[in-house]
Amino acid sequence: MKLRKVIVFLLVLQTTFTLYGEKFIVSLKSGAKRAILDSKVEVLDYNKHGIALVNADSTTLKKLAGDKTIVYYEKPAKAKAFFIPNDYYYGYQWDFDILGMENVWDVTMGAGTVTVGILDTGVGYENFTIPSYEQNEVVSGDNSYHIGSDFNTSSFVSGYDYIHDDTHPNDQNAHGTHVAGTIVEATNNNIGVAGMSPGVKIMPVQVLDYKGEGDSYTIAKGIYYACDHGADVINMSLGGAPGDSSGWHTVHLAIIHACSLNIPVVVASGNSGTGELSYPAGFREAFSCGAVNRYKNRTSYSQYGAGIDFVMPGGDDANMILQQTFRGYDSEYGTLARVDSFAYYYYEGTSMAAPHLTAAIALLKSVGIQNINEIYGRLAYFATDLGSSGYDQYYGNGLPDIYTSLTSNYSDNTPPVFKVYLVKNPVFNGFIDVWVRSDEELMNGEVDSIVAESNGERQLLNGDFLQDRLFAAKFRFSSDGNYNIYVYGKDVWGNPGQNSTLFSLFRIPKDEKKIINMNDLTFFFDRGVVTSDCIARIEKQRNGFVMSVPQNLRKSVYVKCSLPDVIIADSVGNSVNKDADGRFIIAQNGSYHFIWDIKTRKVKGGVRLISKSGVSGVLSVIALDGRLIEKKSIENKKEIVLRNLNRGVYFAVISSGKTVLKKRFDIW
Amino acid sequence: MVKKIILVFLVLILAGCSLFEDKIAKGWELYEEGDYTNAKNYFYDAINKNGELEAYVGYGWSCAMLGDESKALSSFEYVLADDSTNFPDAISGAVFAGNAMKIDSAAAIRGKYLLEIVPDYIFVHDSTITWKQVAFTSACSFVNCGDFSSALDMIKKIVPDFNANYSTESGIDSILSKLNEISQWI
Repeated sequence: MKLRKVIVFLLVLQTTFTLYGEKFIVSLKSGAKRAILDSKVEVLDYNKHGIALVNADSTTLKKLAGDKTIVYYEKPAKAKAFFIPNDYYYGYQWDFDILGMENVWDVTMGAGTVTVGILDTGVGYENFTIPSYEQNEVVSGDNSYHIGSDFNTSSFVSGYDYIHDDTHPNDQNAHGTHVAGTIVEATNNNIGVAGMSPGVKIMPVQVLDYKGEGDSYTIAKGIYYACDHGADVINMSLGGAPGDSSGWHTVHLAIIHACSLNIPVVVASGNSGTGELSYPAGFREAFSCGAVNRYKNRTSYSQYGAGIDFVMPGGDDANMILQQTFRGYDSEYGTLARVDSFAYYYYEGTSMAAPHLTAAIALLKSVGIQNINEIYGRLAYFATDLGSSGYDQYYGNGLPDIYTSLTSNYSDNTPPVFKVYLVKNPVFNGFIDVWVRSDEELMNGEVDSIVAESNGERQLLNGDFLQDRLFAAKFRFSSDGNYNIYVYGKDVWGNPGQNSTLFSLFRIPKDEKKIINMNDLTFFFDRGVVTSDCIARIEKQRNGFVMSVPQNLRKSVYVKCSLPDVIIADSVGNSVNKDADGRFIIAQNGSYHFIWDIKTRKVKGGVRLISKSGVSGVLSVIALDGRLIEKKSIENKKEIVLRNLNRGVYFAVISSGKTVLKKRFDIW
Repeated sequence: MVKKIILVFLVLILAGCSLFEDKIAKGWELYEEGDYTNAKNYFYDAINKNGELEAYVGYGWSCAMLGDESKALSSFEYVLADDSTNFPDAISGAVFAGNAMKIDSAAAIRGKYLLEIVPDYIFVHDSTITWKQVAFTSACSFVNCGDFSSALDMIKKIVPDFNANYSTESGIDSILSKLNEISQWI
């Protein structure tokens, strides 16, 4: 009885072993019997060419390899068909070719859990009798709207028609159906063309009428509807006049609302070819999309300018975008759309480019990438850079690489770092140029804001784009005091960065005496010291101050320093003289640095610190790793010898009141 | 009798001419003393009397020193529209005012042009304003136009040994650093 139990146990063990082993490919040695293999592992499949698929653990297989039963074993690699859809006109879809869609589809064709809101002229998505109030807006042989035949496996969710205030947003123009097709056209169904993300669902929201016209209020309502009814991404192949944001504020707020819900809103940049985006594409929260042709060159009609995010295929006269729709409304002749005449039409425009970006986002959402910043970051970071290097205002971040965006594990959580350069107009004093360089690409290619703050007043400056990650702003001196230039911006991953640069500006009047106190320094500008009113700039730096003395100096400027161990040196390091009162005499224009007058000399077994003027305070010797080696008080010392130090790098830190002076030295 | 009348007219005309010249000279005298308000008034009178271009130059510089760079620029532009080469002080004024007014393209090109026709330019009414300030301001305006190559050319006029590869990011950053540095002493 006991024996049986053991056997059962062993059998179970054996069963467990075979059930929970791993699949391996093995190659039998020439002449080896298959029976040996059968006795050791579970053979799932055997091929006469001596290879087999087995269920086994690696220890057993190692033994078999040692016994010379098998030549090698390996885990089977995952493989997928390199999917090429069989849609009849697929070969004409060059746009899918340059986006590498066949590789993308090996990852995902879009999940049914993802819904794309199409705010447009409606979509040809259902067979439905044309309501009486729409009869004079379209033509149909059977008085019905129809679903496009190449939408036969596409999925649609309930939408809304804000033009007629009903729940049947059927397309009355043909534009919206073409747009929807790029995203969700039935794919691999042997007919017509393919869609980029055929597995996702479309939510048609009609905000434009049969002429393709609408207003921003209706569009805003459409955005809110899509947000409220489960859209994951919104496409808007529409907009107003280039550069004119008036009347779009409500839409802007709706887009901000969508973004707060992690719903990206993709907007076409516009077709006027001008250097300003249309609105709402111009809003920085929108994912604005321009158009490129088959050769990835910006098309002549594609609007560009500050804030453009991406480009996608929009086609040109030579190579347009092919999708299914019906004979559309003809604005030139006023001919109504024929909604029962589905065929495949070539369109071009940023309207056609935008749904490519929308579909890319839908695919990212399909694999679980939901955060709007991460979506933007992936699309921007991995995009194929077009035009001039880095972000530019023609191509934005470039052409998204959808496959890499889907499959890469890379992400970034470090904030951007800004470097600020300041120059002042040397003659028309008071005008300061600010140049800002970011160390990484920024969202929308822009800094969020540059602010000059002084005495509680804030001037918001326009950060004009100069080139990739470089921006220019200008501000005007208003009153004496400390100025702080704040730069705010987010990188493409949405990480916020901030920088502040502190400096002081003082107006030096020609006809008045002026005394400026700054920490341990006092500046004396006598009456008539300058030939005309001008601005002096004093900047706090890591190891002291830099003072720029203006060019129109007529007499000397005097500087009193309360620190005994500080000297003033000109730009080439020559120290300036003092007068009888111990004031430094600055006799000509230039840049003057306030530096610590301590030199180091190596002595046997240590180092000697030498000060011309004498040093007072608390001396600390600190090792490079932060260990305190020595601490003592000193009083008016001109020489300090430090010995018995091991080899290494040290800092001599002298603290005197609020002033801390630091000198690095090494012992070797 | 006719001869007498002609003589009187000639005297009056010559006196009138000298009066305009006096006003301009007086304007510059006041300007050099730093009395920009009265200088501006003299130049304004001279403009109203005969509209000499020199009076516009003085008016422009006086306005500039009084903080009205918009009027200054208009005045310089007026001169340069009529005569773009013979009033270097109007060109230099337009460079500084254009830079201040964010009309950088014109400011940059004018600065470059001035240093081509008068490489050792000095503003005769304020010798602290020289070709160096023109080159510097022009360089800043070239940067604001994204033309780093021309900005480098302008910097080299001030610091001949300086060089940078303007086609690289580090080269551009060193151009910006150099301007930042020059700005502290020029």
